[in-house]
Amino acid sequence: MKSASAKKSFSAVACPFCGIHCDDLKISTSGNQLEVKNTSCSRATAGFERKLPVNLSPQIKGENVDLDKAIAKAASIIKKSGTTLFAGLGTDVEGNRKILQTADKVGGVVDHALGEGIMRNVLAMSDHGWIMTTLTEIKNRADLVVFVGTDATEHPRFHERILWTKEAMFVDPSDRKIVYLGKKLDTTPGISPKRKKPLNITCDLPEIPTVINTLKALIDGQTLQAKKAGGAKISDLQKLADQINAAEYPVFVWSPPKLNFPNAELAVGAVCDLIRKLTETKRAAGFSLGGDDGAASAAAVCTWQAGYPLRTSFAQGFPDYNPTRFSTSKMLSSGQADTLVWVSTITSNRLPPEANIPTIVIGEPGIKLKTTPDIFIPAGTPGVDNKGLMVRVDNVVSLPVKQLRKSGLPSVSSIFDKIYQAL
Amino acid sequence: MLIKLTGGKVYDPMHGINGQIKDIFIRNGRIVAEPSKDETIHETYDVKGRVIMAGGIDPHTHIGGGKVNIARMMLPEDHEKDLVKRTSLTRSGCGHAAPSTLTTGYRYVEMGYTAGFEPAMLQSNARQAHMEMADIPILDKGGYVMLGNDDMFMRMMAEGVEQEVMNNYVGWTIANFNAMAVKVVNPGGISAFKFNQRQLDLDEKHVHYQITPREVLKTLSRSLVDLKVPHPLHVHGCNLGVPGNVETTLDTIRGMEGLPLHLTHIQFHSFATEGDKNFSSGAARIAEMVNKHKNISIDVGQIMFGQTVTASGDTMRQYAGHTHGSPNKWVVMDIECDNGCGVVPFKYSDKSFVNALQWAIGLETFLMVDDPWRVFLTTDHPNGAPFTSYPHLIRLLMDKSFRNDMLHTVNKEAADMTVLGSIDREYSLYEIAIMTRAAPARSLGLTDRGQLGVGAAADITVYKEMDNKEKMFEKPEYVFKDGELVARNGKIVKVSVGTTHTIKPEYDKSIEKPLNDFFKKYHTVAMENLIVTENEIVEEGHGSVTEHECSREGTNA
Repeated sequence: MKSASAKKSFSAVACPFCGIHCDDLKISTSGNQLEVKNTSCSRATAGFERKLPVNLSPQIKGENVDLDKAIAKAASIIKKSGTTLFAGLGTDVEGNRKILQTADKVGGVVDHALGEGIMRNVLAMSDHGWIMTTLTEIKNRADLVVFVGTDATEHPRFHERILWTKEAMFVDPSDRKIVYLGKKLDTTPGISPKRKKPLNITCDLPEIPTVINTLKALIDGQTLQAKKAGGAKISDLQKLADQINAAEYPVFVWSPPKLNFPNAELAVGAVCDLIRKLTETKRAAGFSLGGDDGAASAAAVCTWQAGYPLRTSFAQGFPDYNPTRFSTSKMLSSGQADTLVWVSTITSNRLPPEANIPTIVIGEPGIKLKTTPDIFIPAGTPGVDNKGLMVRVDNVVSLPVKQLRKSGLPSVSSIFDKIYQAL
Repeated sequence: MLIKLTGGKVYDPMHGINGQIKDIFIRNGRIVAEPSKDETIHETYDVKGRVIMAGGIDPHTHIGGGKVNIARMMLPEDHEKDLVKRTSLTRSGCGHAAPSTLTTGYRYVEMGYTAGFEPAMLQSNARQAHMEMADIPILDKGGYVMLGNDDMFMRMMAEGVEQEVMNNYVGWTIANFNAMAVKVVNPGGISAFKFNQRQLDLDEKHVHYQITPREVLKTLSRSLVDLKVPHPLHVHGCNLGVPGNVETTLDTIRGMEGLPLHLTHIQFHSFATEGDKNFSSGAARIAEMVNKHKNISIDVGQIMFGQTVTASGDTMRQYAGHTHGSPNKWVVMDIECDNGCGVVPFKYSDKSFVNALQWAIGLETFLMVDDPWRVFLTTDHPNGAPFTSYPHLIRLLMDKSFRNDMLHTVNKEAADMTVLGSIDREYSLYEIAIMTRAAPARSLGLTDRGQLGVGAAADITVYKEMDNKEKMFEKPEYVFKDGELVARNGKIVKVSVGTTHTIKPEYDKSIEKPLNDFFKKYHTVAMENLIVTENEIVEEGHGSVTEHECSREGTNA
């Protein structure tokens, strides 16, 4: 086929592979093979340049079948199932719309692959609220950035595109002060273009609430007798307190998936509480990283369609939200789910959890499954095989992602459209 | 297919029809002239004795976009009291203060409304606003794009660019975010709050840009007139909620030198400082001023007692107001060097002096503004109350004895301070039809909606006439959307897809070069990716885009 091998190039391409959705990419295509031309971002290159496998056929118990047959079988399994868990949700806005429509119809439960992290934010926010900012504000306004429990390296271009920028409206970007708080963080991206090193304060992550509350006391001008709090040196925290007091627009950055310890929503809450305290007299704001695998899209669509965040069940005919009971792990461990539908079309190898129930995987065609599911339907990646819309990690901006090749892989929305029709 | 509604009492203020018995004919979604005798009528609805109006139009309701989604996410406990089951026809969801998109559509339509406009659509969040509105079934919708706090605008103001250059920016914004109008919220104040400025009066200078809210208002209003945008600048003024802000509001009107403005949720901007508590009603002075100035239209933003949530772009005032919020949790966001948002739950209590007086101020305003063509019925959903309280509000306006009974139940001190009890006015059905249909349609430039003339879209609501106006307006007997019966006796019978109303002003595309440079330097998204195309609004069966003529002929002011 002539067109399949034709070379094309695209600019202002938005990247679906992490929650930042950088949209300045140049990509060239040669047939179905893509090449990222203007960044070495490991996640963009791994995602865009991954090879399309030879076998793109849907399968029933490992045997190739045509799409219609796989969809009919999937629909019949879902129809028979008492409670279907729709999890993973690694897709775009339209994919999530159609998954929710299906879950609503069959009384299913929805949760995202990164649901545990999402809930750390949701719980903190629905308990007390928060004061937040967005990427363009950070770029133009932040004179101090405090990374809490994260180094942001899971978003490889965060420092380049948001912090060490050429231009900013209200600050000199190369003068930004950077602070890391946590353990085993890669602080090298925090070295400024003027070679100024970031302040690095070490503490165990579960100690973050203690450290932040201590910091709050120091900012308030209290003198403490202790030399350490939560493992962090008071002298370091005093330095940070002074920097915060001197800053015009300090921003506190965390990443929910990295706060992987019990009751981590309290750590998010402690940071938000500090920001609220600061805002009484000056400006300060929070920013949450994450949003991978379309997490922000899934959370946003579920919230507007159901009124509730993810981890919502439609089993009673109306949306019923429970951040613990309707988690993927609890649904499977408690035996509440009779069928697992796992959707993962963005990151490679975001594998479904082990489950001894009928399993339908709608995934990126190269996904390396450990066991053969009852049904496997290879689906397009939004922003590569299909166009779509995706919500950025700040839950404010959303971006169009492009179709860059004609692989023929169906979109998640088209698959769920057909499943819905067949129910 | 030809449909006939026969024998109804028609209220169509756009054509001066005030309760005359009149047959209405519908073909292909439009109202048509009486057909010749030999034409077959496929369906006839006997609506003798029924009241017929065009479908209701809500010109200010927060139904889509990031701040609404924040409100939804923050208030699971509020949804729990109003869970909505799925039916064979409709999706599940939840209602009350921050309803799900699907429930929003069903409930508006069940109440006889056929269009709602999201008044606070940010450039940086316009795509999400359109995506959420696409998931509101049946209802027509549209958005007012927010300007007057974005750094692009503020820089242009500070540089003192020619009015024409500003017009191009405003025109570009309306066209490229598929908007219907322009709103400004706390002019310059959202930006000022990012610089830690905690208040900004009408003639006070922004600490960084050194421009005043009055200059912002004049420039934007002028732009919209020059661009021939039908709806005047939609203004959420300075000092929301501040006792004494009635002076600011009066001064805002005085200073416009005849330029048109729509002052939204004016109740929150009509507070005077008389009495022991330094809080009193400024409604009479506001009404007098509005009556005198034909260039001004308003909506009220009536409050009702109960739990709700306030969602606003006004970070400065939402932050200041959070201490009065309940439950005690709230969100403030600085957004993209563009705008901001603040979401604060409120529980308005009839036993609270301030809340009871706010309630009275709203009603006083409705009742003291003479011209119903210039005062629209809103609660600023959900800020004053959820939109589902409209039938109750209509009864308060139409039924003096009911109103006075209600007045006796609220905080006594507040009741003593309001003139509400001495106002005899009762709105007529004709006037209700003006303020809920004809006037918003005319103000927005929706030439084929909000009326029942030949050629108009067949968005029609049929009510059983009752003494209890709350009951009457709660569950209309029939609701037609584009000629299809979509609700019957307050229940959805068909789910269709509404359109997105837009206007496309003409502007000089040379503005795109400096804009693109600005985006490249300072933004984190490319200009071409931030704008919202018509195509993406309609794709995947999500509806259609209807472009209206960009013309100020026949509009209110």
